[in-house]
Amino acid sequence: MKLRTDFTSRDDLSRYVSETFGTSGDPSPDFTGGRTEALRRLHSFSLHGYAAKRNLTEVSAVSMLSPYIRHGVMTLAEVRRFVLGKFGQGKDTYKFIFELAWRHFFQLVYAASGDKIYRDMETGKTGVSKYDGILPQDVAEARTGLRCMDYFMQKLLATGYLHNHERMWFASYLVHHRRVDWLVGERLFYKHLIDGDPASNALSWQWVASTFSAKPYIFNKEVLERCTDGVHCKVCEVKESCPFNFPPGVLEERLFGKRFEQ
Amino acid sequence: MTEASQVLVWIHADSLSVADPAMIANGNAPAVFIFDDALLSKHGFSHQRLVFLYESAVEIAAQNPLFEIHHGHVCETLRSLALTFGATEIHTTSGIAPLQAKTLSLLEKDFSIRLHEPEKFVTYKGPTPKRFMNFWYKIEKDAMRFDR
Ligand SMILES: Cc1cc2nc3c(=O)[nH]c(=O)nc-3n(C[C@H](O)[C@H](O)[C@H](O)COP(=O)(O)OP(=O)(O)OC[C@H]3O[C@@H](n4cnc5c(N)ncnc54)[C@H](O)[C@@H]3O)c2cc1C
Repeated sequence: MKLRTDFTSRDDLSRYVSETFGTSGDPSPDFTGGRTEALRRLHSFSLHGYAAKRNLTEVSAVSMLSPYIRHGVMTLAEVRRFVLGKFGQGKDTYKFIFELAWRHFFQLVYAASGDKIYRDMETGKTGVSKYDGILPQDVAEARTGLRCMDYFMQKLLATGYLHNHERMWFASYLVHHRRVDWLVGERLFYKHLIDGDPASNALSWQWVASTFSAKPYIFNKEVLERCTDGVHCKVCEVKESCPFNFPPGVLEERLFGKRFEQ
Repeated sequence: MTEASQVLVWIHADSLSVADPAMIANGNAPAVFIFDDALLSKHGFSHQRLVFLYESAVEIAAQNPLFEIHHGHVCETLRSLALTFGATEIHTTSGIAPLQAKTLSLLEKDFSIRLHEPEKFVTYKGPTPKRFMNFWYKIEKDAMRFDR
Protein backbone atom coordinates (compact mmCIF):
# COMPACT_ATOMS: atom_id res chain seq x y z
CA MET A 1 0.00 0.00 0.00
CA LYS A 2 1.31 3.41 -0.98
CA LEU A 3 1.72 5.86 1.88
CA ARG A 4 1.55 9.64 2.09
CA THR A 5 4.58 11.88 1.76
CA ASP A 6 2.86 15.28 2.01
CA PHE A 7 2.83 16.40 5.62
CA THR A 8 2.19 19.86 6.95
CA SER A 9 4.04 19.32 10.23
CA ARG A 10 5.75 16.76 12.44
CA ASP A 11 2.51 16.29 14.35
CA ASP A 12 0.69 15.60 11.11
CA LEU A 13 3.27 12.93 10.21
CA SER A 14 3.20 11.47 13.70
CA ARG A 15 -0.61 11.19 13.62
CA TYR A 16 -0.44 9.47 10.25
CA VAL A 17 2.14 6.98 11.56
CA SER A 18 -0.21 6.19 14.46
CA GLU A 19 -3.17 5.67 12.12
CA THR A 20 -1.17 3.57 9.68
CA PHE A 21 0.75 1.36 12.09
CA GLY A 22 -1.42 1.45 15.19
CA THR A 23 1.30 2.96 17.40
CA SER A 24 0.86 5.69 19.95
CA GLY A 25 2.97 8.33 21.64
CA ASP A 26 4.98 11.35 20.63
CA PRO A 27 7.89 11.57 18.21
CA SER A 28 11.27 11.46 19.94
CA PRO A 29 12.17 14.86 21.34
CA ASP A 30 15.83 14.13 20.59
CA PHE A 31 15.85 12.79 17.05
CA THR A 32 14.33 14.07 13.83
CA GLY A 33 14.83 11.76 10.87
CA GLY A 34 16.71 12.70 7.71
CA ARG A 35 20.13 13.56 6.37
CA THR A 36 19.74 17.31 6.80
CA GLU A 37 19.50 16.80 10.55
CA ALA A 38 22.28 14.20 10.51
CA LEU A 39 24.63 16.63 8.77
CA ARG A 40 23.65 19.48 11.07
CA ARG A 41 24.56 17.32 14.06
CA LEU A 42 27.82 16.15 12.58
CA HIS A 43 28.89 19.67 11.67
CA SER A 44 28.01 21.12 15.05
CA PHE A 45 29.49 18.23 17.07
CA SER A 46 32.43 19.32 19.17
CA LEU A 47 34.88 16.52 19.67
CA HIS A 48 36.94 18.45 22.22
CA GLY A 49 37.01 16.50 25.47
CA TYR A 50 35.37 13.39 23.99
CA ALA A 51 38.07 11.00 25.25
CA ALA A 52 37.83 12.26 28.81
CA LYS A 53 34.10 12.82 28.95
CA ARG A 54 32.39 10.21 26.80
CA ASN A 55 31.63 8.01 29.83
CA LEU A 56 29.87 10.81 31.69
CA THR A 57 26.13 10.59 31.22
CA GLU A 58 25.21 14.07 32.45
CA VAL A 59 27.61 15.89 30.11
CA SER A 60 26.77 16.21 26.41
CA ALA A 61 30.09 14.83 25.17
CA VAL A 62 28.81 12.20 22.74
CA SER A 63 27.56 12.80 19.20
CA MET A 64 24.10 11.21 19.34
CA LEU A 65 24.60 10.26 15.71
CA SER A 66 23.78 6.58 16.23
CA PRO A 67 20.24 6.52 14.72
CA TYR A 68 21.57 8.20 11.55
CA ILE A 69 24.55 5.90 11.27
CA ARG A 70 22.49 2.81 12.02
CA HIS A 71 20.05 3.56 9.20
CA GLY A 72 22.71 4.60 6.72
CA VAL A 73 21.42 8.16 6.68
CA MET A 74 25.13 8.86 6.92
CA THR A 75 27.93 6.31 6.81
CA LEU A 76 30.67 5.45 9.28
CA ALA A 77 33.14 6.22 6.50
CA GLU A 78 31.97 9.79 6.03
CA VAL A 79 31.82 10.45 9.77
CA ARG A 80 35.39 9.13 10.08
CA ARG A 81 36.61 11.32 7.23
CA PHE A 82 34.82 14.39 8.53
CA VAL A 83 36.24 14.23 12.07
CA LEU A 84 39.77 13.56 10.82
CA GLY A 85 39.47 16.53 8.46
CA LYS A 86 38.03 18.89 11.03
CA PHE A 87 39.80 17.87 14.24
CA GLY A 88 43.03 16.20 13.07
CA GLN A 89 44.53 13.14 14.72
CA GLY A 90 44.54 13.94 18.47
CA LYS A 91 43.35 11.75 21.32
CA ASP A 92 39.71 12.79 21.03
CA THR A 93 39.65 11.82 17.37
CA TYR A 94 41.41 8.56 18.20
CA LYS A 95 38.85 7.65 20.85
CA PHE A 96 35.92 8.61 18.64
CA ILE A 97 37.14 6.57 15.67
CA PHE A 98 37.86 3.71 18.08
CA GLU A 99 34.15 3.81 19.00
CA LEU A 100 33.07 3.97 15.35
CA ALA A 101 35.18 0.86 14.86
CA TRP A 102 33.11 -1.00 17.45
CA ARG A 103 30.16 -0.66 15.14
CA HIS A 104 32.18 -1.88 12.17
CA PHE A 105 33.41 -4.83 14.22
CA PHE A 106 29.84 -5.84 15.12
CA GLN A 107 28.79 -5.47 11.49
CA LEU A 108 31.54 -7.80 10.32
CA VAL A 109 30.51 -10.40 12.89
CA TYR A 110 26.88 -10.06 11.79
CA ALA A 111 27.81 -10.34 8.12
CA ALA A 112 29.54 -13.63 8.87
CA SER A 113 27.08 -15.04 11.43
CA GLY A 114 23.68 -13.77 10.22
CA ASP A 115 20.84 -14.62 12.57
CA LYS A 116 23.16 -16.74 14.72
CA ILE A 117 23.86 -13.51 16.61
CA TYR A 118 20.53 -14.19 18.34
CA ARG A 119 21.98 -17.30 19.96
CA ASP A 120 24.86 -17.49 22.42
CA MET A 121 27.99 -16.87 20.37
CA GLU A 122 30.06 -18.68 23.02
CA THR A 123 29.41 -20.51 26.25
CA GLY A 124 28.71 -17.97 28.97
CA LYS A 125 31.43 -17.55 31.60
CA THR A 126 29.17 -16.86 34.58
CA GLY A 127 28.47 -20.46 35.58
CA VAL A 128 24.81 -19.50 36.00
CA SER A 129 22.70 -22.29 34.53
CA LYS A 130 19.29 -20.66 34.24
CA TYR A 131 18.04 -17.28 33.10
CA ASP A 132 14.41 -16.12 33.00
CA GLY A 133 12.71 -15.70 29.66
CA ILE A 134 10.49 -12.75 30.57
CA LEU A 135 11.04 -9.16 31.55
CA PRO A 136 10.22 -8.74 35.26
CA GLN A 137 7.18 -6.55 35.72
CA ASP A 138 8.84 -4.13 38.13
CA VAL A 139 11.60 -3.53 35.56
CA ALA A 140 9.08 -3.07 32.74
CA GLU A 141 7.08 -0.62 34.83
CA ALA A 142 10.17 1.22 36.09
CA ARG A 143 9.40 0.57 39.74
CA THR A 144 12.31 -1.53 40.94
CA GLY A 145 13.00 1.10 43.57
CA LEU A 146 16.49 1.61 42.14
CA ARG A 147 16.40 5.18 40.90
CA CYS A 148 19.06 4.61 38.26
CA MET A 149 17.43 1.58 36.65
CA ASP A 150 13.93 3.06 36.82
CA TYR A 151 15.23 6.23 35.21
CA PHE A 152 16.94 4.30 32.39
CA MET A 153 13.73 2.46 31.63
CA GLN A 154 11.68 5.65 31.62
CA LYS A 155 14.24 7.42 29.47
CA LEU A 156 14.31 4.55 26.97
CA LEU A 157 10.54 4.72 26.57
CA ALA A 158 10.35 8.51 26.48
CA THR A 159 13.23 9.29 24.14
CA GLY A 160 14.30 6.10 22.35
CA TYR A 161 17.91 6.70 23.39
CA LEU A 162 20.24 5.77 26.24
CA HIS A 163 23.85 6.77 26.74
CA ASN A 164 26.27 3.88 26.17
CA HIS A 165 26.98 3.47 29.88
CA GLU A 166 23.30 3.58 30.76
CA ARG A 167 22.83 0.71 28.30
CA MET A 168 25.71 -1.22 29.84
CA TRP A 169 24.49 -0.75 33.41
CA PHE A 170 20.90 -1.59 32.59
CA ALA A 171 21.96 -4.71 30.67
CA SER A 172 24.28 -5.81 33.46
CA TYR A 173 21.56 -5.30 36.06
CA LEU A 174 18.98 -7.23 34.07
CA VAL A 175 21.20 -10.16 33.15
CA HIS A 176 23.44 -10.54 36.20
CA HIS A 177 21.39 -9.22 39.10
CA ARG A 178 17.95 -10.26 37.88
CA ARG A 179 19.14 -13.31 35.93
CA VAL A 180 17.08 -12.51 32.87
CA ASP A 181 18.11 -13.97 29.51
CA TRP A 182 20.07 -11.37 27.52
CA LEU A 183 17.71 -11.92 24.58
CA VAL A 184 14.83 -10.47 26.62
CA GLY A 185 16.76 -7.26 27.08
CA GLU A 186 17.84 -7.32 23.47
CA ARG A 187 14.17 -7.45 22.35
CA LEU A 188 13.25 -4.57 24.64
CA PHE A 189 16.05 -2.36 23.34
CA TYR A 190 15.44 -3.28 19.71
CA LYS A 191 11.84 -2.25 19.95
CA HIS A 192 12.51 1.13 21.52
CA LEU A 193 16.01 2.34 20.63
CA ILE A 194 15.86 4.60 17.60
CA ASP A 195 19.33 3.32 16.75
CA GLY A 196 18.18 -0.27 17.40
CA ASP A 197 20.54 -2.34 15.29
CA PRO A 198 20.62 -6.13 15.00
CA ALA A 199 24.40 -6.40 15.33
CA SER A 200 25.32 -3.63 17.78
CA ASN A 201 22.41 -4.47 20.02
CA ALA A 202 22.49 -8.27 20.16
CA LEU A 203 26.28 -8.45 20.33
CA SER A 204 26.52 -5.75 23.00
CA TRP A 205 24.01 -7.66 25.12
CA GLN A 206 26.11 -10.78 24.57
CA TRP A 207 29.25 -8.84 25.47
CA VAL A 208 27.66 -7.85 28.79
CA ALA A 209 26.34 -11.38 29.37
CA SER A 210 29.78 -12.97 28.62
CA THR A 211 28.55 -15.04 25.69
CA PHE A 212 30.62 -12.81 23.40
CA SER A 213 33.39 -11.77 25.78
CA ALA A 214 35.89 -13.31 28.18
CA LYS A 215 33.97 -12.33 31.33
CA PRO A 216 30.65 -10.78 32.37
CA TYR A 217 30.45 -7.00 32.51
CA ILE A 218 29.58 -5.71 35.95
CA PHE A 219 29.76 -2.26 37.51
CA ASN A 220 29.55 -0.97 41.04
CA LYS A 221 27.94 2.01 42.72
CA GLU A 222 31.17 3.99 42.81
CA VAL A 223 31.46 3.87 39.00
CA LEU A 224 27.82 4.65 38.38
CA GLU A 225 27.83 7.50 40.88
CA ARG A 226 30.98 9.00 39.38
CA CYS A 227 29.81 8.78 35.77
CA THR A 228 26.33 10.11 36.53
CA ASP A 229 27.48 12.89 38.86
CA GLY A 230 25.44 11.15 41.54
CA VAL A 231 22.10 12.31 40.12
CA HIS A 232 20.38 8.98 40.74
CA CYS A 233 22.10 7.95 43.97
CA LYS A 234 21.33 11.31 45.61
CA VAL A 235 17.60 10.69 45.41
CA CYS A 236 17.60 6.89 45.67
CA GLU A 237 15.80 5.45 48.65
CA VAL A 238 17.52 2.05 48.84
CA LYS A 239 20.68 3.63 50.30
CA GLU A 240 22.45 0.89 52.32
CA SER A 241 20.79 -1.98 50.48
CA CYS A 242 22.00 -0.80 47.05
CA PRO A 243 22.87 -4.02 45.18
CA PHE A 244 25.77 -2.27 43.44
CA ASN A 245 27.48 -0.96 46.55
CA PHE A 246 30.39 -3.41 46.74
CA PRO A 247 33.96 -3.56 45.48
CA PRO A 248 34.05 -5.30 42.07
CA GLY A 249 35.57 -8.56 43.36
CA VAL A 250 32.99 -8.85 46.13
CA LEU A 251 30.23 -8.17 43.64
CA GLU A 252 31.51 -10.98 41.42
CA GLU A 253 31.58 -13.35 44.39
CA ARG A 254 28.01 -12.43 45.24
CA LEU A 255 26.71 -12.72 41.71
CA PHE A 256 28.71 -15.66 40.38
CA GLY A 257 30.35 -17.28 43.38
CA LYS A 258 33.79 -16.61 41.87
CA ARG A 259 36.12 -13.83 40.85
CA PHE A 260 37.29 -13.10 37.34
CA GLU A 261 40.79 -11.99 36.47
CA GLN A 262 41.10 -8.24 35.99
CA MET B 1 5.21 7.15 -10.72
CA THR B 2 4.00 6.83 -14.25
CA GLU B 3 7.01 7.01 -16.55
CA ALA B 4 8.49 3.73 -17.76
CA SER B 5 11.88 3.00 -16.29
CA GLN B 6 14.30 0.21 -16.74
CA VAL B 7 15.42 0.43 -13.13
CA LEU B 8 13.62 0.39 -9.82
CA VAL B 9 15.73 1.37 -6.81
CA TRP B 10 14.99 -0.34 -3.53
CA ILE B 11 15.91 1.84 -0.57
CA HIS B 12 16.07 -0.22 2.62
CA ALA B 13 16.44 0.64 6.30
CA ASP B 14 20.24 0.26 6.27
CA SER B 15 20.62 2.99 3.65
CA LEU B 16 17.68 5.30 4.19
CA SER B 17 19.26 8.38 2.75
CA VAL B 18 19.16 10.93 -0.02
CA ALA B 19 22.81 9.90 -0.42
CA ASP B 20 21.96 6.23 -0.99
CA PRO B 21 24.53 4.96 -3.55
CA ALA B 22 21.98 2.97 -5.58
CA MET B 23 19.70 5.98 -5.92
CA ILE B 24 22.55 8.35 -6.76
CA ALA B 25 23.74 5.99 -9.48
CA ASN B 26 20.24 6.05 -11.01
CA GLY B 27 19.39 9.73 -10.84
CA ASN B 28 16.05 9.61 -12.62
CA ALA B 29 14.78 6.18 -11.71
CA PRO B 30 11.81 5.46 -9.49
CA ALA B 31 12.70 4.38 -5.97
CA VAL B 32 10.80 2.91 -3.05
CA PHE B 33 11.11 2.37 0.69
CA ILE B 34 8.84 -0.32 2.12
CA PHE B 35 7.80 -0.73 5.73
CA ASP B 36 7.89 -4.51 6.08
CA ASP B 37 4.60 -5.60 7.67
CA ALA B 38 6.01 -8.93 8.85
CA LEU B 39 8.94 -7.23 10.58
CA LEU B 40 6.70 -4.60 12.12
CA SER B 41 4.42 -7.16 13.67
CA LYS B 42 7.34 -9.33 14.81
CA HIS B 43 9.11 -6.52 16.68
CA GLY B 44 6.28 -4.14 17.57
CA PHE B 45 8.54 -1.13 16.98
CA SER B 46 7.86 1.93 19.08
CA HIS B 47 6.12 4.96 17.64
CA GLN B 48 9.35 6.93 17.93
CA ARG B 49 11.29 4.44 15.86
CA LEU B 50 8.68 4.49 13.12
CA VAL B 51 8.44 8.28 13.08
CA PHE B 52 12.22 8.50 12.71
CA LEU B 53 12.20 6.09 9.77
CA TYR B 54 9.24 7.85 8.22
CA GLU B 55 10.83 11.28 8.54
CA SER B 56 14.02 9.99 6.96
CA ALA B 57 12.01 8.55 4.07
CA VAL B 58 9.92 11.71 3.60
CA GLU B 59 13.12 13.70 3.19
CA ILE B 60 14.03 11.49 0.24
CA ALA B 61 10.57 12.07 -1.25
CA ALA B 62 11.16 15.80 -1.04
CA GLN B 63 14.25 15.45 -3.24
CA ASN B 64 13.23 12.67 -5.57
CA PRO B 65 9.75 13.04 -7.14
CA LEU B 66 9.87 9.40 -8.22
CA PHE B 67 10.36 8.10 -4.69
CA GLU B 68 7.46 6.37 -2.92
CA ILE B 69 6.87 5.00 0.56
CA HIS B 70 4.88 1.79 0.91
CA HIS B 71 4.00 -0.75 3.52
CA GLY B 72 3.32 -4.40 2.90
CA HIS B 73 5.19 -7.52 1.86
CA VAL B 74 8.60 -6.32 0.70
CA CYS B 75 9.23 -8.82 -2.07
CA GLU B 76 5.71 -8.60 -3.48
CA THR B 77 5.71 -4.82 -3.36
CA LEU B 78 9.02 -4.63 -5.22
CA ARG B 79 7.79 -7.09 -7.79
CA SER B 80 4.52 -5.29 -8.43
CA LEU B 81 6.14 -1.83 -8.60
CA ALA B 82 8.80 -3.09 -10.98
CA LEU B 83 6.08 -4.50 -13.21
CA THR B 84 4.11 -1.25 -13.04
CA PHE B 85 7.15 0.65 -14.30
CA GLY B 86 8.22 -1.96 -16.75
CA ALA B 87 11.48 -2.15 -14.83
CA THR B 88 13.71 -5.07 -15.64
CA GLU B 89 16.40 -4.24 -13.09
CA ILE B 90 16.24 -3.77 -9.35
CA HIS B 91 19.11 -1.78 -7.89
CA THR B 92 19.86 -1.51 -4.22
CA THR B 93 22.72 -0.72 -1.87
CA SER B 94 24.56 -3.67 -0.45
CA GLY B 95 23.66 -4.44 3.15
CA ILE B 96 24.37 -7.28 5.54
CA ALA B 97 20.89 -8.13 6.83
CA PRO B 98 20.06 -11.74 5.89
CA LEU B 99 16.56 -10.57 4.97
CA GLN B 100 17.93 -8.38 2.20
CA ALA B 101 19.76 -11.30 0.61
CA LYS B 102 16.66 -13.47 0.95
CA THR B 103 14.43 -10.86 -0.69
CA LEU B 104 16.83 -10.38 -3.58
CA SER B 105 17.19 -14.12 -4.13
CA LEU B 106 13.43 -14.35 -4.57
CA LEU B 107 13.52 -11.61 -7.19
CA GLU B 108 16.57 -12.58 -9.18
CA LYS B 109 14.67 -15.08 -11.29
CA ASP B 110 12.52 -12.33 -12.80
CA PHE B 111 14.72 -9.25 -12.57
CA SER B 112 18.32 -8.43 -12.99
CA ILE B 113 19.67 -7.40 -9.58
CA ARG B 114 22.44 -4.86 -9.18
CA LEU B 115 24.14 -4.14 -5.87
CA HIS B 116 25.83 -0.80 -5.22
CA GLU B 117 28.58 -0.71 -2.61
CA PRO B 118 28.53 1.87 0.18
CA GLU B 119 31.85 3.48 1.05
CA LYS B 120 33.88 1.25 3.39
CA PHE B 121 34.94 2.40 6.85
CA VAL B 122 38.25 0.55 6.53
CA THR B 123 39.64 -1.77 3.90
CA TYR B 124 40.05 -4.77 6.25
CA LYS B 125 39.80 -8.08 4.42
CA GLY B 126 40.98 -10.56 7.07
CA PRO B 127 39.06 -13.30 8.85
CA THR B 128 35.93 -12.46 10.84
CA PRO B 129 37.15 -10.92 14.08
CA LYS B 130 36.25 -12.41 17.47
CA ARG B 131 37.51 -9.85 19.96
CA PHE B 132 37.41 -6.13 19.38
CA MET B 133 40.88 -5.16 20.61
CA ASN B 134 42.62 -7.66 18.32
CA PHE B 135 40.57 -6.28 15.46
CA TRP B 136 41.30 -2.67 16.39
CA TYR B 137 45.07 -3.23 16.37
CA LYS B 138 44.76 -4.62 12.86
CA ILE B 139 42.76 -1.68 11.48
CA GLU B 140 44.02 1.16 13.67
CA LYS B 141 46.47 2.61 11.13
CA ASP B 142 43.98 2.45 8.30
CA ALA B 143 41.19 3.92 10.43
CA MET B 144 43.32 6.84 11.57
CA ARG B 145 44.73 7.65 8.15
CA PHE B 146 43.35 10.86 6.72
CA ASP B 147 44.44 10.66 3.09
CA ARG B 148 43.14 7.32 1.99
C1 LIG C 1 23.36 -3.27 25.70
C2 LIG C 1 23.77 -2.34 24.59
C3 LIG C 1 22.96 -2.23 23.45
C4 LIG C 1 23.35 -1.39 22.39
N1 LIG C 1 22.53 -1.31 21.29
C5 LIG C 1 22.90 -0.52 20.25
C6 LIG C 1 22.08 -0.43 19.09
O1 LIG C 1 21.05 -1.08 18.99
N2 LIG C 1 22.48 0.39 18.08
C7 LIG C 1 23.65 1.12 18.16
O2 LIG C 1 23.96 1.85 17.22
N3 LIG C 1 24.46 1.03 19.24
C8 LIG C 1 24.12 0.25 20.28
N4 LIG C 1 24.93 0.18 21.39
C9 LIG C 1 26.24 0.86 21.35
C10 LIG C 1 26.30 2.28 21.91
O3 LIG C 1 25.70 2.32 23.18
C11 LIG C 1 25.64 3.32 21.00
O4 LIG C 1 26.11 3.18 19.68
C12 LIG C 1 25.99 4.75 21.48
O5 LIG C 1 25.58 4.91 22.80
C13 LIG C 1 25.31 5.75 20.58
O6 LIG C 1 25.44 7.05 21.07
P1 LIG C 1 26.27 8.15 20.28
O7 LIG C 1 25.87 8.17 18.84
O8 LIG C 1 26.14 9.43 21.02
O9 LIG C 1 27.75 7.58 20.42
P2 LIG C 1 29.18 8.28 20.21
O10 LIG C 1 29.96 8.06 21.45
O11 LIG C 1 29.05 9.66 19.73
O12 LIG C 1 29.84 7.35 19.09
C14 LIG C 1 29.77 7.62 17.69
C15 LIG C 1 29.21 6.42 16.96
O13 LIG C 1 30.04 5.28 17.13
C16 LIG C 1 29.25 4.09 17.22
N5 LIG C 1 29.44 3.52 18.57
C17 LIG C 1 29.83 4.16 19.69
N6 LIG C 1 29.96 3.31 20.72
C18 LIG C 1 29.63 2.10 20.25
C19 LIG C 1 29.56 0.80 20.81
N7 LIG C 1 29.90 0.56 22.09
N8 LIG C 1 29.16 -0.23 20.04
C20 LIG C 1 28.84 -0.03 18.74
N9 LIG C 1 28.90 1.18 18.13
C21 LIG C 1 29.28 2.23 18.88
C22 LIG C 1 27.81 4.51 17.02
O14 LIG C 1 27.48 4.38 15.66
C23 LIG C 1 27.83 5.97 17.44
O15 LIG C 1 26.82 6.73 16.85
C24 LIG C 1 24.56 -0.66 22.47
C25 LIG C 1 25.36 -0.77 23.63
C26 LIG C 1 24.96 -1.60 24.67
C27 LIG C 1 25.85 -1.70 25.89
